[in-house]
Amino acid sequence: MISAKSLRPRQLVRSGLTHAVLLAGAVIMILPFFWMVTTSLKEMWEVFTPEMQWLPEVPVWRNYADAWMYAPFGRYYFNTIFVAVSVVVVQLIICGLAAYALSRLQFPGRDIIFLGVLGTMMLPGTLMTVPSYLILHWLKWIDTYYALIIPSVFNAFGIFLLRQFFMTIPRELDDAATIDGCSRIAILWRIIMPLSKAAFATIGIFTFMGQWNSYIWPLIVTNSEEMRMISVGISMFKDQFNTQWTLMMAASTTATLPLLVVFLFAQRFFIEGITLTGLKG
Amino acid sequence: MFKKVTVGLLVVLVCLTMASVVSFAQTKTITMYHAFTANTLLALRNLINDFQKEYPNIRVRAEYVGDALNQKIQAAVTAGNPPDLAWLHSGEHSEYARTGAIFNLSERFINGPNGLSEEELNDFFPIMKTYMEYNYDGNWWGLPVNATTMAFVYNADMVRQAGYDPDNLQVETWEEFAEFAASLTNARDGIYGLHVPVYTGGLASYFDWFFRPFVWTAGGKFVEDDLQTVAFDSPEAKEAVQFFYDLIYTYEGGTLSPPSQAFDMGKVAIHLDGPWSIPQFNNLRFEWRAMLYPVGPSGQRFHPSAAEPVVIFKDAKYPEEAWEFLKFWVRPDNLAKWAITSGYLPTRRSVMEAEEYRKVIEETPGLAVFVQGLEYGATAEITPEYNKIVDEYTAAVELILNQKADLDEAIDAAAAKCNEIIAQYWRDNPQEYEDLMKVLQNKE
Amino acid sequence: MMAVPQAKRRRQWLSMKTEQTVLGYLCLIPTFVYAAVFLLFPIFYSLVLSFQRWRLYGNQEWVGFDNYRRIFSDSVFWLSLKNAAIYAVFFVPLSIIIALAVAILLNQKIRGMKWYRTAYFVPVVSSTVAVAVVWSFLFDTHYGLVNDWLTRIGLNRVGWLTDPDIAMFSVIIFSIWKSLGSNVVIYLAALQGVPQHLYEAARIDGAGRWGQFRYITLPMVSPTTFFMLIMGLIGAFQVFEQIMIMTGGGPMRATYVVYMYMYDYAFRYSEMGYAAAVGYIMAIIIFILTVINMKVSGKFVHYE
Repeated sequence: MISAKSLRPRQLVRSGLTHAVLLAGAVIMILPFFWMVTTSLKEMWEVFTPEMQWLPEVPVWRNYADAWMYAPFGRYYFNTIFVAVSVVVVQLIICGLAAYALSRLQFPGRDIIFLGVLGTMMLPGTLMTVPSYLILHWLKWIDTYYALIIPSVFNAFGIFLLRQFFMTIPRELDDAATIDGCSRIAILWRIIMPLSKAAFATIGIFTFMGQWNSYIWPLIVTNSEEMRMISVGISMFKDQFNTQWTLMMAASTTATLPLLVVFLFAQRFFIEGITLTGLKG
Repeated sequence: MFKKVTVGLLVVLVCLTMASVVSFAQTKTITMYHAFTANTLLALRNLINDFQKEYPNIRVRAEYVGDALNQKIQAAVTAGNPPDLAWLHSGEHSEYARTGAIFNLSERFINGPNGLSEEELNDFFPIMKTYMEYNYDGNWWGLPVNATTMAFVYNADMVRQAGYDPDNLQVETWEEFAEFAASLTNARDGIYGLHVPVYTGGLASYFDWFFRPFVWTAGGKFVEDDLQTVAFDSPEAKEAVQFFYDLIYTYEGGTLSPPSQAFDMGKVAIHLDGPWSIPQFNNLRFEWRAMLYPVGPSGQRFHPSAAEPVVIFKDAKYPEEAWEFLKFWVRPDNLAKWAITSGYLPTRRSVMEAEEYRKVIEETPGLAVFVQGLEYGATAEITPEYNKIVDEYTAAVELILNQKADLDEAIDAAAAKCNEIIAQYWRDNPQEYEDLMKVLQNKE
Repeated sequence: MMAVPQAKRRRQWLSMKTEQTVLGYLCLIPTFVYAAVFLLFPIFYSLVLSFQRWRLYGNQEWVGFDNYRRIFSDSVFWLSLKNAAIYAVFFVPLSIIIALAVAILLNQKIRGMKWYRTAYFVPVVSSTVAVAVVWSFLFDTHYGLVNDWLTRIGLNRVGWLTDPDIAMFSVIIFSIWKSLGSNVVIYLAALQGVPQHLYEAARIDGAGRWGQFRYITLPMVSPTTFFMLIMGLIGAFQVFEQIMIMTGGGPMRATYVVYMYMYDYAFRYSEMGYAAAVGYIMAIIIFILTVINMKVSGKFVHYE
């Protein structure tokens, strides 16, 4: 149906225009990433030249081998994926339950609790570092996976976003389900969650990314090399005064590509939403 | 007979097993925080290997903390769970010393039976020692493992084009320096002689490092010796600011806002840098050389310098073993290997003059200038509230060099504010003030 | 059919209201446990600190409201607050408008959409250091591509990162660019939830594209817009990393924001108590703005 329509000249111009706009935007978006990738394949003297030089004369694949020699990247990948996936799973459960309570149930104290959830984001994270370390020290969790995972499982951002999504779902659905004998938990599981897949996917991917890029906190709560995460690997190429650009970009590229692949595939969940808007009936 | 041998063997075996168990039980693990990367990290691995060979009963765990170094030490000390040792940036031990988080090494180890002799201590460059003190107290609060200085690095190709001989450069005085920079500038094409690194915030101390030798060579000081007031508002110190104002606007030889990575790109001819960048410079496509700081009105030459200490925490689990490791580290033979691999300058004269290090100087282009610079190195005067004061001063200089404020007015205002900051500090910390007064009286 | 009597029985057992209350608090148990273990102590700890003088490792000394008094009399604090406000005033609305526009463009069924979406997400995943370097090239006064284009169309060069009147706007442009991808993803998720039949109905009623946008899309995504407004405000007052990398707070403190002010006191000036007080002032400002926002937005946010 759509393809038949799109044959009309006006539609063609329109879609051509859309492509042009999207393409221009995409170039601006990708340019720095492009620089990152090409720099990772340059010789050192090619990085900063009198005229901006986008491409290396001969790609230097050796940079990747060199960068990987610096640190146990394999271990870093494992840690990062293990921690990120654990955090995402637990976080989605906690956020989902909390958001459900804060959006679709009526009870005294609800709005104060919601404001409190938002309030946890307002105190600057810098102030939380020392006391949070103290707690982990008392729990004897320093240098363990617990220290990397548990403090991150709560996400006010996620609760807030899910709440906003849950609130757009018509209440008649709840009522209909209640009449059909569904318990409230079943409503959450069978109706609200499937309808909010896109929101869950969004939070999941943000949290995953946040863990992937998290840098200072893992350095503070872990000690041994075996507990470190991928962003530490990238920082190894930069100290106070010096940056080894080619190696650092090689490490950054290897760290970023998996995220893009994840996003490319996770998109399915955002798009799937379209077919699920069968609420009209 | 056979039985006896068997029994004998058994006894030996049991003894061996017990011995190994005992020695295993005695193995102590000391931990150290650091932020070393690249070659320095390699040097550290070698050092630990060598140490382990001599001291099989002490295991060293080096933990890379990177950019989180200060935050992590702060958290760990607060929790009563610090590492045994830590490497620190130059000057950062004073906050730990003041609050009693680290050992006074002189008191605790150096003067003891397993300490260091007077002779050994004197082998460290004198400025290294002043860096390890805290408010002139004459004590060693850490041992310096890295020395550094900075020098002006220049693009030999550009210098040649400007009609100078890069291998026989006659640039000594401020005037010559300004003219030299001016001859390399072509502002229309965005080519500049000198990048004047006026940075604020986290990099303000870099500006301070760059700039203080100019204040000194003008005959000025940054802080008065009694640590009661700043001295950067003296006519001499102001002259240094005026010099850079003239360099930028009268000679037109410099810029405050060069293109990013301008020296590497060949857009800025003179650039301040340290010996740590030598490998990178050798990878550039143009020739480079290094030159000393120019000499100002006082006729004396000064260079910035720094000493990076390793300190031992009071709450360390194994302070004795930590000291053993630190002592091993600064032993001339180990320190030589350390300096050669890491690229930092040695902190001891005997290492600097040793045959093997002389060879490295010969083989590494530009290194000789940095080594020479260290001879002109002067200690940055310590002051309480160092970062606050440097921030105020830098902000004033930035305004002046951008022609947004009058020199005298801006400097005087900053000085007044800094004097109040220092006075407030001493009011808040009367005990420390008393200690300082005692030290100053003894000095006289 | 068995389910109905069960449900009825339960309703007799617990009144509707009590049931919701019990269930609501049950669902919030994990949140409460987390808060009790990991949030209460740090929040209380910082609050106590804000009334103390504590230089990292030494003794903690009670000073009453001294820290707060000093903060309010420090002109640099007000300057940094003003800078953060400028940032927020431009960044928050602009980032929301642009994100919605791009999300609508990306919410079509055209070839290669998957790749376009990924492209717009690239800045979000790229390392901040790498992208900040490239942007400082683009913004470079002499060699930057941006000034290159400006001079080609006959305009003057602009000191994007070196002119104190301009630098903040360059930082804002960079921030919008960096965060666009995540905001677009959230809007995309919201747009998926807009029932298609509403558009069909509107078309039948003769609504044009603008009309559909104004009367269907905008109200339907308003909960998300509200979300972004609140999150944007919280984020804007805590902006730090990208400014640190791009300008370091300069030139001439033109981009020195309040989070940097707090960070300096915490880690460069070693005045943890003072920094905690700054943090609390920031939190209170954000809190008040959020509450105002919630009150005002009641008018435009449309739920289900």
